[in-house]
Amino acid sequence: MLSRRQILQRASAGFGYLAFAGLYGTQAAEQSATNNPLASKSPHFSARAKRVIFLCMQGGPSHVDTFDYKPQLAKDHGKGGKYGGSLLKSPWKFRQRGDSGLWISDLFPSVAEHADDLTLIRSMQCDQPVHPGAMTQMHTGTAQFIRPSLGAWTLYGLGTENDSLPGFVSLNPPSGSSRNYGSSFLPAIYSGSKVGRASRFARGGRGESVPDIKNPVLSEKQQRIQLDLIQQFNREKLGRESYQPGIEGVIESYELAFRMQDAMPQLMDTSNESQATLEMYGATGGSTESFGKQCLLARRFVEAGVRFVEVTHGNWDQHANLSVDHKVRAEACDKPIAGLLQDLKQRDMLRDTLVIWGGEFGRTPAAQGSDGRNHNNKGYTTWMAGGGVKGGFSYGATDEHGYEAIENKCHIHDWHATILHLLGLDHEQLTYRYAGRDFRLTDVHGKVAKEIIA
Amino acid sequence: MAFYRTTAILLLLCAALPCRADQLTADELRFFETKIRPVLIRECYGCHSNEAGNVRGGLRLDTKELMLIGGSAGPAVVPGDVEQSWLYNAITHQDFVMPPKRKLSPTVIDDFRQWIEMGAPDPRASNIVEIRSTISEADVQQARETFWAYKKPVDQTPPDVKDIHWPRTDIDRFVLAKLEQADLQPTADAEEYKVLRRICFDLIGLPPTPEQITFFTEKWENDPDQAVSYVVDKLLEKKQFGERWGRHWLDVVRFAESTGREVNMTYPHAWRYRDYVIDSFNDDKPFDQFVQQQIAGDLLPAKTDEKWAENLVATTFLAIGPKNINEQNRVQFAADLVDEQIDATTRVFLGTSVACARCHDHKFDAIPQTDYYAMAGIFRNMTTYFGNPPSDFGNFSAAQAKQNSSLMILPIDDPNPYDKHYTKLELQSLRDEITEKMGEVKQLRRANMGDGNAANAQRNRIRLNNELATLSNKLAVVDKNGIPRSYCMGVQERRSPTNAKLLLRGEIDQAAQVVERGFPQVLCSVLPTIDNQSSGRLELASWIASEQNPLAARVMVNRIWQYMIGQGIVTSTENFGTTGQPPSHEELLDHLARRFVQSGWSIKSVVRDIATSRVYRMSTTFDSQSHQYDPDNALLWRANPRRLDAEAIRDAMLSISGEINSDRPRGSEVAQAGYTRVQGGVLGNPRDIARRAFGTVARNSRSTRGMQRGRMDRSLQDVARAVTGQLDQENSKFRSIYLPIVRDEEPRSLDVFDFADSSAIIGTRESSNTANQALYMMNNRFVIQQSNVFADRVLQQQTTPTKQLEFAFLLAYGRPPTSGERSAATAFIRQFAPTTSYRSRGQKTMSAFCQSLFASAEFRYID
Amino acid sequence: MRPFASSFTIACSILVASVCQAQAPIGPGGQRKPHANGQLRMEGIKRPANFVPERDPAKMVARLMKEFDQDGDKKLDSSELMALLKAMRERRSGPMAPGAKEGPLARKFGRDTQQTPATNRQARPFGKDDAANPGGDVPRRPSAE
Repeated sequence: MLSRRQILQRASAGFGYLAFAGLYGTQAAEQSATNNPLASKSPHFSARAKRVIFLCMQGGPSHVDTFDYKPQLAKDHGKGGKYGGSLLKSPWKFRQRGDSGLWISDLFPSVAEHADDLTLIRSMQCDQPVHPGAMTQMHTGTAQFIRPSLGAWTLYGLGTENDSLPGFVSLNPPSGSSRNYGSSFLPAIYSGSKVGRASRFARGGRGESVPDIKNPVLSEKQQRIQLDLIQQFNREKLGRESYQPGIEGVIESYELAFRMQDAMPQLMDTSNESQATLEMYGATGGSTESFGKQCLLARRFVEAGVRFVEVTHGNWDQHANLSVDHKVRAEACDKPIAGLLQDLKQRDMLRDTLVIWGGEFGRTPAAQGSDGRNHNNKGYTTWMAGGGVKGGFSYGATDEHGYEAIENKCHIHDWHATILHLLGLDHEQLTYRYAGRDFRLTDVHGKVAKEIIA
Repeated sequence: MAFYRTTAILLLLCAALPCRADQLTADELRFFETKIRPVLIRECYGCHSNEAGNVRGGLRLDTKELMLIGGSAGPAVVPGDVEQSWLYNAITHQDFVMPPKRKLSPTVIDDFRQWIEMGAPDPRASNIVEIRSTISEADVQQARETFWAYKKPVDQTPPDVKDIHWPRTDIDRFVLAKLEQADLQPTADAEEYKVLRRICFDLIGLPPTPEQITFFTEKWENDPDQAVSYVVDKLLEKKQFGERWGRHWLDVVRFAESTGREVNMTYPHAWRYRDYVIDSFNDDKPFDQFVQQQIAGDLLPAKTDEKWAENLVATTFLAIGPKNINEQNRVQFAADLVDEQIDATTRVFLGTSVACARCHDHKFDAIPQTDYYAMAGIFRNMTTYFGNPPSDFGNFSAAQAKQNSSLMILPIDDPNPYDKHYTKLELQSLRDEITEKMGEVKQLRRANMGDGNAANAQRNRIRLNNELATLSNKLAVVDKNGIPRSYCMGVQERRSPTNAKLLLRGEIDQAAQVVERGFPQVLCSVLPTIDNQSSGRLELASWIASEQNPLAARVMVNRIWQYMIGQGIVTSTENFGTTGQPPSHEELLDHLARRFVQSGWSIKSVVRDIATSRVYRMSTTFDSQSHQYDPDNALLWRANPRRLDAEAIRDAMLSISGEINSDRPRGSEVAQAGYTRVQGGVLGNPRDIARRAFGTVARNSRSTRGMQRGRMDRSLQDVARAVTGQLDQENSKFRSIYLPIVRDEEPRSLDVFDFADSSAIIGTRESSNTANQALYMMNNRFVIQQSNVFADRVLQQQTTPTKQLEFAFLLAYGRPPTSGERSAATAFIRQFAPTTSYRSRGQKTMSAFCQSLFASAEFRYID
Repeated sequence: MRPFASSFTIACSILVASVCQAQAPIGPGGQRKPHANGQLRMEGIKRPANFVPERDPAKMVARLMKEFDQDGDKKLDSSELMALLKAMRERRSGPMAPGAKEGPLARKFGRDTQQTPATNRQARPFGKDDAANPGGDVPRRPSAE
């Protein structure tokens, strides 16, 4: 009797179809190449990063209030902005941090302590000034079509280290955004799994943050027998149709779900973390509790072999009440992010874990209303840490007020190309043939920002 | 870059003239400069100006506009009216105390009084005279005349086709013609049980019963066209049709029973709109009437009170969007509300995103910013009702619900069944409690002056305020005899409508020229006259619901097509503009649109046309050549395999187990909870829910003698589930459309299968494939419970294992099992049965088997 | 640019969990002055001085069960259950989440309570000419044609 693992390893690119052919020992399974789509694969060239934690700051945090120091903006406060309105200086002070002397505002004091590990990309650009478009472009490279997400491409290129867990996890994603962690035309097994419903996240240690993770009536043995029957039906159905990616997706999802039943509760149960660790993330209470728990889970996931973890924090969309609400948002995530960096460093994981921070765009240097900023997609800041990027480094720059990138522009396509490069993937070679043409994450664009690589 | 260029040009064109200050006399100017401005600078700008960067209470006092706009309480200055000027209220230490902890000298206060009474002359005005658009009239005309969607649909003659035997209806000819052009062939018909399954799910959202399958198969063998036609007609008459198609409409109109966002307050009367929609679809209400009722129902003439009530309920459409009720600034809130209403109206009915033009000319379509404000002029002249009325004691609101609203009293008596009746005694005690608490607040306020324990007092005040809000809300909705009134959400026109001013970058304090009320010019070449005394909303409603605009019919038939075929002729169902997708079959779309109008705007007739076509009954058989050429199946060389939506999956399980309750429940779970805040996944106060749940346990334990420990324990677990799972409604047996839809807290059974985002206009749902879904089907209590009942049904109705197997398959999939499936089933029973205890072996094995039928892919796909 | 509605739904999800945690203690001992008719409020469930009202319903249920489990067997028998229900009934509906920052002088309710009923100079969201009426607004009948 073949073990589950063996069967999976023998399955072919029509993964689902042959997954259980093996169970019944048909010839096709015997002959299949080891082409398990989730199996760990080697990258195109040597990788600096083996895994990614993407901290998505939904709503668009203001770069001129966080990581893009614009002294001219403070001087010109109240004057007319280049594109109308009056310039609004930042309510927060900027200071130089670490040995590198990076200018970071007081909104992120804890993160700033790790300045010497950060590469700030101050010249980000994207094409969409509205949230859904920009979020979609940030995740999938385009707002116009439905395309696979960055996480799905990463899985496609590298597989995952732990087949009992989804290879791509999205913690607490905003509702209505499954496209941003979807797989589109890539096989469904590469899509992200949503974990945790935002409003219920701050629950205790072993909660059901993944609902329905345990069967209340069947034993594991019984469940396996039942699952074999389900998969048999699925396999038969697949045999009747010659092309049904939906059914393959169902087959794969059941296998993954079955394994997740054991792996997930263990992973979500943070009670074996030391008190010191919990405090480092701010996960013990207060405003940092929820995001702290999520960052801690992100570390646990990547440690367990998940390839790509996205954690969302928001809402940064302060068209009004900036001076109050931006601070509240920052407070809730500053300590947890710093804790994450610290924890990864302590476990010697930061060097091959790429941590990415950023929102879908930035905010205008000119005021909106009396205490707000509008969207700014022509110049904003994201940062990266670990995974082979330089530390204490700043790449690119915006104009004197922070409206648009003028030096070393980094468009979303360039950003994607760079991320894939750090993972050891050539963005021009990582393609998938669909409907007669080769698709890639960066479409026909993208240049790797080599300067940020250590 | 285009945006910045445009704005730059706009700024060049606009004249920002300082001091075109409304003819201030020299005296007025001097008064202001010597007595008012210095005081403002010295005492107020520190906290209420742009320079300080500090805006307390959402109030800025450093420009004329902003003083008139005011902050969270109201306008700071109402020229000529000291009573209504909150600035004066504050400096005289009435409701507010400004400057904090100090009082200005009586002379200064009197200066301000004089200044307000003389009309508050103020030179600090930034008069932006006029913003001119970069989109010229010629641009608009050109778009109107050349862009496909802006030209009115014309009657179409179905094209000739080579294979004259294939088409059954005109729809088929249009499709076949394009296939033949591309050298493709349509696939063969699907098997009859698949066709029936498709029709049943599409029309009523339920699987066919074994009897229906037998009946249909016989008829199909005789004459497939007749069989289909017969079934379609029968199903269109069922009330389940409205429940199925009503839910599609609720997706589109962002239906929900709460405000969503940070402060999530319920809409206890939203359910009336839900029922209205279902009934409208069942009655096949002409779509043009349906449209008019929703946009301007309060203005439509009505012969009876019932009709009037129906029209009012229809206007809930305008009131039901998501709201940021902790927005401090009233003017901002009002502007955002109007914006949301414009966005909903234009995208739902016209597939046009006019709201993009709030801040600048539309970047892609020929819609200048003035068109947006022309529509804003129409929508700003109404009161929107979405909250809870004030009581005699006034308008209290919980700390964070800064924006509140009342409700309309229905002209008929149709109260919510859950509304509480109060006895006289209870009413009096409620009133006493309110009075008492108000007294406490007053005491606290007095104590607060210069007192040490300020923070504590303030927290107590907030708590008292919240309590007062709850009590007042309860009192407000009953009459003086304690009998609950009937309310609905919606809108009411205000008297003396005014036009809107264009706002530079959409900012409320940057008003430019006044814009006449009107419609987007690119859609409407000849604007109907809007009377001075009317807002234009009725005219807008009539225009949208007419052949006079090129889009309404197209957008709706495209939606109907999308729900039945799997993708729209225009795949971007909310966007028929230049950034949307062009139609795959432009003539077909026009043909359907014209037929829709000519049929009297009958939705059922379009559904019938599509359902009886040949295109609809094609199989999903794959053809790699066709796929190479047309991978998205835009030309329809086969039927699209479709995953069922969440409601159909849940309803199918209920229907198959036999537990489905086909009645319509009165109201909803949200109605039962009343007007309250949603927090932590619970409606209202978790204590109340817990108390009720504990109470149920206690009652159950009293009725059985000496309740066993184990049962009590489980019951208490049930209490916990009742509290935390209140919004999941695992035990409900009603159709899914009746589940409570609370923003951000949608029931798990719907959420897991890509339920539409209830805060957005969703014409096309997503269709994902996740491990989460697998976990749900494997482990969710609802699924397990339904499998148990399904198993019971099978075991009771069939006696032999073979018959049981066939019956189960017939119920779940509409067909008998294949031989491979039979042997798999046998193998399963052989392996599974021994793992269970002898006593319940048959039942448990069958349950697990039935669950496998639910869980397999075939259950959730139509193909 | 117009902020897109759906993205604001994030606010509730994250913010409820992480931001609005500002909790207010009731005050020392949770006691208050006796009522005019001599009845003490807030009897039943005693609270410590730094009591923080529970927001998460699951935790609240767990806490209640623990609190009333007098014999410590981690279950509630009928007498313990009765005691719990009694206490819940007697207790007034508890303080609701006070929510986040408030300006020191922000007030949202009617003024002088000695006037009947408050003339309600309260800020009306929709302009001066349509004061919200107590009990709701009666809609205007449209002209019947």
